[in-house]
Amino acid sequence: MTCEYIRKLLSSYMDGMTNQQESRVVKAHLQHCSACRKELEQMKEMRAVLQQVPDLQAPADFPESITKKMKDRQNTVFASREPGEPRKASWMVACIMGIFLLVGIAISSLLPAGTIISIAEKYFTQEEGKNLAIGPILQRILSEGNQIDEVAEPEQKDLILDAQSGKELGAVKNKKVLTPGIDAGSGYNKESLPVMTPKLAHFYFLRINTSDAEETITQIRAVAAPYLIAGGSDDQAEYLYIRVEKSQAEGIIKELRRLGAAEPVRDTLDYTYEYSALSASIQQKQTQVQALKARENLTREEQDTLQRLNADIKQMQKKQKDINQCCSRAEIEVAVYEFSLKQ
Amino acid sequence: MMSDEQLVQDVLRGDNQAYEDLVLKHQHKIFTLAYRCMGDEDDAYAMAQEAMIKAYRSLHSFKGRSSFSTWLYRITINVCLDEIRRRKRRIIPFSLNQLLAAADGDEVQKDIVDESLAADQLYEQKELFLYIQQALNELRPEYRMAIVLRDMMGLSYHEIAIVFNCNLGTVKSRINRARSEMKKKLNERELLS
Repeated sequence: MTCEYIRKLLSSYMDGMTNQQESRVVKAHLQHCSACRKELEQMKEMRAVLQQVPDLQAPADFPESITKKMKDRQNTVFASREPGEPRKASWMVACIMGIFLLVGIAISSLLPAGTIISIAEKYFTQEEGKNLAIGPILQRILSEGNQIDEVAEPEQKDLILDAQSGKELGAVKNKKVLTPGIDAGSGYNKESLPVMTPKLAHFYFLRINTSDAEETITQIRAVAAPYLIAGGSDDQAEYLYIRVEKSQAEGIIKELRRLGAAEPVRDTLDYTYEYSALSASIQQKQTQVQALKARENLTREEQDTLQRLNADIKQMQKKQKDINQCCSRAEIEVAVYEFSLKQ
Repeated sequence: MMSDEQLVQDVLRGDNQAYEDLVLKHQHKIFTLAYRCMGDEDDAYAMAQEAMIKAYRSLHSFKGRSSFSTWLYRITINVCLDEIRRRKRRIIPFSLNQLLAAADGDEVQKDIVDESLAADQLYEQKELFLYIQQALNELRPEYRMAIVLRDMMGLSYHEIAIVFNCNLGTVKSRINRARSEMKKKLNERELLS
């Protein structure tokens, strides 16, 4: 078991949030790996330090200030919007580019029905949750609607900028020509983009429940549009998670790729911790099997071991298959990058 | 003391005093959460205010599926993150100077660490807390919030999933990454053994 794999589990292990199998694996690893032990010790120490930090006290006039503010707002017939910073054309360009150039996709199936899905259904389909998550986005889009629509209107095919034509973006005020372009097929190639720098697009904790590709894309574009901010670097892409019917996942990913450069694309099927832990165990046992098979003249005992290992592997593979089959939904992870023009 | 749920019912029946009670009950947590998110007391004040007003207005949509405090944390975090996005920039990490000034109310020089070996324990502890907030400010907002909710406010993974509106797997990986980043920051400052 690699340290890298264990370290992904250490934090959950410390909080008792790993399953039995994971806990066993971590425990066994810790017995012989001093580096990971130190990592865990430090994490515990840090938790203890953080727990000591006391809460702040809200200022004495805080409760009163809320009542006052609420009254003030009630007395205002038309609530004026707080003056924002003047919109900059360059920001608009950055924003629009961001809408176009999404995507680094990983797909992972959720845990078997009855575990995560039921938990997720319970919490994530709450009405207020949806309002809180998507409401502000839609509101902002509506309030900024005209400008965004002007430039976000091109047909989907035009979303991938054409390197040859250096197609202009509609109504952008400064009329900068975005070239060379990005080809969805070949992926994002840094060298072909001398005038663009990928920047961090802001994350949003959004979960889209849909089996409709078009709807998904509409929502992603809506999300990406207003929340792109400056700063960060290309290794800090942020992620949206889209839960879809498993059978629809491939189709939706295909559609998503049309939105922009699909690099780095991570098509690895990484099911849940449970599934990964099984994979790890299978791999471990297969190594043992190979080692035994490589030898000649096995003793009776060794032959038994070989048989047992093979049976274990078979059983674990079956369990993986079960997990796979009872996952009705897949989760698509979409990285959102912002590309802006260098000034 | 009346339960949050009872107070919410009273507010919905038109009893505004009940809302004041809710504010009094949760104000310090909300103010602290907003401070941890924004890294500045003035911003925290404004954001906590906004969150409380927003909560009042959407109280009818609180269905009691989570605890009231979890629901309130979620609103607070959304308000803070909205503000961060509105500014369209990352929060600029505060220098130690600013942090000390903000906490003490008057100017403190950076070389204060060299001042005296007999600096009293209280001061050291205070300094440690300021270093911690400084390290938090340097984390990306979602990591900062994950670590605050888990390690400083003691929320369960399920509660954090509700606050972030994401699944348990995401919470696990976010907390894991947040802790690794934070540990790195604290190690850089030689605060861990």
